Amino acid sequence: MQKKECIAMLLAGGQGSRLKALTKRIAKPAVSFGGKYRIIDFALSNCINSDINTVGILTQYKPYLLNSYIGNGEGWDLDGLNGQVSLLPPYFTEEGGSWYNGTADAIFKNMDFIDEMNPEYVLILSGDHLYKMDYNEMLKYHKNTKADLTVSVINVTLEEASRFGIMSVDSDLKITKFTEKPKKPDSTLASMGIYIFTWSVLRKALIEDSTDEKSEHDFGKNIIPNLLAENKRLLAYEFKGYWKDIGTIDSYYEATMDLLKDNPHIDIFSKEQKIFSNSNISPPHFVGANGKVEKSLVCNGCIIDGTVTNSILSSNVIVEKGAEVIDSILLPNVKVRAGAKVIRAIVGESSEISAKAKLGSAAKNSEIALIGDNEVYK
Amino acid sequence: MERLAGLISTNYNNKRFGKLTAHRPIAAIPFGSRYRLIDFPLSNMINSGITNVGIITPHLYRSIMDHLGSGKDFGLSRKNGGLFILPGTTYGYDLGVGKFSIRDCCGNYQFFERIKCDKIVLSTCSKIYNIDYRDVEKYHIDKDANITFVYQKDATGDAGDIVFDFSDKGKLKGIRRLKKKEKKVNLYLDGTIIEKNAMIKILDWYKDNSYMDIMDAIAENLGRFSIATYEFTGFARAISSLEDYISVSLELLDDKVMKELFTGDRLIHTKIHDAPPVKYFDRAKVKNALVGTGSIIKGQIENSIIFRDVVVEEGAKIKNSVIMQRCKIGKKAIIENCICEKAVVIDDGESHKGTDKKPAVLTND
Repeated sequence: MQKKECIAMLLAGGQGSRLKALTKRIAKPAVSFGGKYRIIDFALSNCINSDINTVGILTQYKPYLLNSYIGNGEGWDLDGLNGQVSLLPPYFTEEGGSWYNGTADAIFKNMDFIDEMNPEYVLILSGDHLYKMDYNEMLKYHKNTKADLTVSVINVTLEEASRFGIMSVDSDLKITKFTEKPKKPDSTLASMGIYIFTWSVLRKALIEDSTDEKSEHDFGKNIIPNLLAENKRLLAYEFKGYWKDIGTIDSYYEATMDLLKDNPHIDIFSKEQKIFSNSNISPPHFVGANGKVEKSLVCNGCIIDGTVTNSILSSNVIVEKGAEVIDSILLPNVKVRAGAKVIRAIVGESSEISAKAKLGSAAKNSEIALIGDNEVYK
Repeated sequence: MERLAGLISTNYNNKRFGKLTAHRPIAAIPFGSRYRLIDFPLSNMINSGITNVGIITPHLYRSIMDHLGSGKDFGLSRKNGGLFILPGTTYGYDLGVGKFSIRDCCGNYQFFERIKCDKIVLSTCSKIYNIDYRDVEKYHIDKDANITFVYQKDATGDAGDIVFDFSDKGKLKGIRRLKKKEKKVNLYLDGTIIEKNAMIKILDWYKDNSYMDIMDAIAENLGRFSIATYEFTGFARAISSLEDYISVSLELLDDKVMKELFTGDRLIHTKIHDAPPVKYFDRAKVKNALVGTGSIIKGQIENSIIFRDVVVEEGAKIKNSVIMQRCKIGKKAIIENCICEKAVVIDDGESHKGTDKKPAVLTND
């Protein structure tokens, strides 16, 4: 195999407990998004669109669906002769076994994998962010500035800043201070959780961190502050595009509904930086004689004989005669039976809304109604 | 040993599809919003557990090869068996009624010698139906047959189609080709299970007379084989002309037909494009339609088949039509009873109308 300049390590083990019912059964990166996608598609597509063809995916929380969805990576062209996807779950050794305890620990425990690939640089990514980014540009920047670590940052408002890891930089964008979730932020440059490390530097830092008993083995809390303290060369790389961390049900709803706008933040129709997915073979969607669809996204396999307005219908959703779906997100295989009404709701995969049932409320300030996977709502 | 292998002939064409087959074989005609005709016989085979499939290619084979690729999307990219591309002769059937020439089989004789199977399913690409060949195979074995034909009772056949005549006791009396359109016939659905050794016998008998269609050769030798006929009772249609093409396309908009063909356990497979979902805008209106992925719909659609990556601009009205991949229908354009070839651009305000008997075919030529 040819030597790799840069490989990606994709952190996909998080539960995402703030997504409540949506992550009861599956890991957050596997949550369905925008009809036919799953959240991890964005990071994986960014990788292949940036010519990064070796991706280690670190899984831990309820990985079954994620594993089967990713498969051998062919959905993203990550199954080439010179590249691959590797699913990296926690494992057992002769000294015993343990879970991944923190983001840095997850990478530390897979040093063998990275050593095998023997890259110059390692790109650390999260599997639960929505954005289109050319990592190559960031890598070029990392090389040109001879950085040990480059952190991708985005400008946020001062109010938002206390939710993020915040960076203070000098005029050359050299990072001078890094604070996780500061109460009084002195900068608005937020870390996007996207790092490019020079592998030799990261390798040494991970080994040192692994023996520190007080460490939480976290990139933001431990690795980056340690490197700063050692006077390593840390640079900020400012990203100007759209980036969203889907943390809560509200932000999930908002980011999904944004796709319905005439000019959404993420253009899934663009042929450039295309978002790939593991497509299914469902038939084209069918709108019946009583069907009505307006301002919506509709996926393959849907059968619509009711009314659908301002909504997202994922693959194989059925909306029966007389049913109404308004301002809602229906995940794959949802059935809305005859005469049911669904307003401002998110309905989990393979759930069913019984005939004539009413779910959700049109009131703008009402909470988004949420039904988990495989439920029947009466 | 694998019991069944599949063999599909695509090396035939005729002039009855007008411009639709000017640059492609009948097998590659786009159908049903995301498929091509070849997807139906091919899916029937793979959904019946067949993992060895030979495809006899036509003279103009670009579109077929592009569609099949390595066979990956059909589960046929395999170490053990998989997809076999069998080059057809340069002059395949392009005018007559033949579809499955003995010459094409003889030219690929090694396929029959090497393929690990004792029976072969033969099919062409002019009939639309969803069948489980395992049921046919069971019937074939029960009847201790050498050859089993799949047919439909009381069907409508067109000139050139093969029909079966039965005696009062239900015994097969003869196989003949229709001279003109006929209703209520026992229509051959272009699906056959044949013992491999019977197939090889026929090829050996006819190798010097190889312009013949395999079906005509069998018809001449009915007495020499044990022949069974399997009645298929589901939805099946022949697509033999442009008129058939549009009428069967629009028949897909019948709820029951659509569900039977597309949504059961045996899905129709096709080349995967990975396009985004369909986006409907504010004033979009759609009723009775099948719509492929990646399309952007701002106008009105009624009773129509829309393929992938189509753009329908504001105020456009499409009715009783088939709009193929990557077409752009301009603002306030009116399309009725038309077939829009791939990537056709209809300018703003244009109006095109065919009739339900004679659809207009719009192309870029």
